[in-house]
Amino acid sequence: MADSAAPSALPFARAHRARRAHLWLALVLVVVSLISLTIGASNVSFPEVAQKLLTGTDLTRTESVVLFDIRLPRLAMGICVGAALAVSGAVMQGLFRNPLADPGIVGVGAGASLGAITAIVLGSALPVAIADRIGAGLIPIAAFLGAWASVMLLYKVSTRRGQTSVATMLLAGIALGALAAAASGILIYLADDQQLRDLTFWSLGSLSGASWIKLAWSAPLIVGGLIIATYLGAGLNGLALGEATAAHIGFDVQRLKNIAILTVAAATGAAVAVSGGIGFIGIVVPHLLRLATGPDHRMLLINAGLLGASLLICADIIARVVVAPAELPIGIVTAILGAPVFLWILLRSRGVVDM
Amino acid sequence: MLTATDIRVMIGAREVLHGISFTAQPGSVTAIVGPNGSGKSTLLKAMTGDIPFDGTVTLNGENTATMKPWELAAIRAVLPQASRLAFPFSVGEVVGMGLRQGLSGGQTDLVETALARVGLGGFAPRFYQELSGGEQQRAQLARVLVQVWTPCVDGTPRWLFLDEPVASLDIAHQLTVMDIARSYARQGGGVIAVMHDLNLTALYADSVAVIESGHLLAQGAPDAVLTNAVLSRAYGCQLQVNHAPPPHQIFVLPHGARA
Repeated sequence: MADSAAPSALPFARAHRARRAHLWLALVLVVVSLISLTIGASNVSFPEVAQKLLTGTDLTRTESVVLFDIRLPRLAMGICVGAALAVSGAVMQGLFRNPLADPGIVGVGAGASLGAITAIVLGSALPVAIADRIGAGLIPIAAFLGAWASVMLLYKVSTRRGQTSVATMLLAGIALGALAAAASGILIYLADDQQLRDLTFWSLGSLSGASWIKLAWSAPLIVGGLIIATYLGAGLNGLALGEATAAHIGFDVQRLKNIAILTVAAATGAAVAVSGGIGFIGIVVPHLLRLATGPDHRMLLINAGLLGASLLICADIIARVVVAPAELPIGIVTAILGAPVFLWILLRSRGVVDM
Repeated sequence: MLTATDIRVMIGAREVLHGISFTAQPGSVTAIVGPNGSGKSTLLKAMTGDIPFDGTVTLNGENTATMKPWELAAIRAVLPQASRLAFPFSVGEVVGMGLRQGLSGGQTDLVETALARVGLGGFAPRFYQELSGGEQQRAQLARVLVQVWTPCVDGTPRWLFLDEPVASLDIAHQLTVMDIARSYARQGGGVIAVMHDLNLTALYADSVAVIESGHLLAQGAPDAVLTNAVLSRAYGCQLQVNHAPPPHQIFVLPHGARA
């Protein structure tokens, strides 16, 4: 049971807070983005560049490259990936009616890493002509295909006579995850030292490989998925009452499940493919928002997108700054910062969590 | 009118409903009674489409199997036996989920009215999960009520399907809830309720269906159906149906464990 102190004022205040939060979180995202453009290994300063752009002065070659080819695509990718992970987390939690669900639950992570490992270990076996054409895109493409294939397989296994059982999905996901991990294990066993190193870094996650080309194919999947996801809010609220009741109050529950799973597969599949394994955003962000502004998915999904993007940009700034001019894998930063904050919130508000 | 024809339900390899045909009229409260495991809740779940079944169910003349969820939601609401809520929504938010665009959409003042109706006035801002079992049950009833608030629209009746609506309620609230059901029926709506309490059934039902081992044992007015023979056979124990002094209310007394 939650703290008994003035419980009656809480939920209504939250609803107002949730709506106001759209604005505040958007503002935070803008500020964080500007900071992100300013900070980096090279000492190109954003205010200087902005001033030059406004006054029509030509940029130096370094300034233009650093800003437009390195920092801007990285920022855009950070926003996309952070929003994708947080919104997908919220959607999965709503679908599975469980605050601990995350996109990994539908097999995105296991499939993506199997794809990535396959590309890293067996990529050199590709004919040179093909390998040259795909180049650095090989790992993300393989990861996306792996993620998509595993979600579709899991979805198929859990669907009987047009009805998808989320309980089956949860359990079958564990089985398929183990299978994917075993297949990955075989490839890891075959890998040489350099490949193992590549693999480790991929699995820790990073935005450092951001480029306009990667964005060009991942952003439409992510943005499209997120836009569709924001329309699922009312249905996910209904689902909180159980599948049967959600149907009785007028939702097509099977269609809701189809859309939720496909959008999450597209958005997180693309996000994981371009950034590797970035943990914690998908669980921490929706949970934080639920505590602060309530569980109404119609507002939660939008706020999760904004906060997820901001948090990932912050983590990326930290990742780039602490060991400059090198940088930390971002997955380490999100976990080091995310885990204690999450624990602290859990212990503080145990009442609400236990319910 | 609600018509269920030859309803068969398999659970696993076992047939639990053996071809039940059942009707309920708008303007009346129809109670479904029977012992534990007789299939009365299963019958209700088949009629609301929660479980797969063979047979047909028509509501106001239309086959429910071919209706879209939102079309069904516009004419009938369902109160489940137990509801677990996944996230900490407020009572007002839960009740408000009964309001959908195009149904009773937008009439947010209905939430407070419905809550007051079930004896939960002022509960809207509270956390649903902090309510007692009985209060949660009544909050769910309020959600069901706002969904089909007007019992009869342009001559088309709307329906309440209630699965043990008074199961966890004290005696005063049992009466409150049954009064709501009766008044919904009196205003032209249809009410179908799975009931355990035979005396409450006798007091409120206009029609009673007795289910036993997956068969419909009897259906009709309480006077005709609630008899020593039918009840003793259905429940497998000695029951004595009596009549109180005027206005001759029926009441059922248990006499012994064996029939």
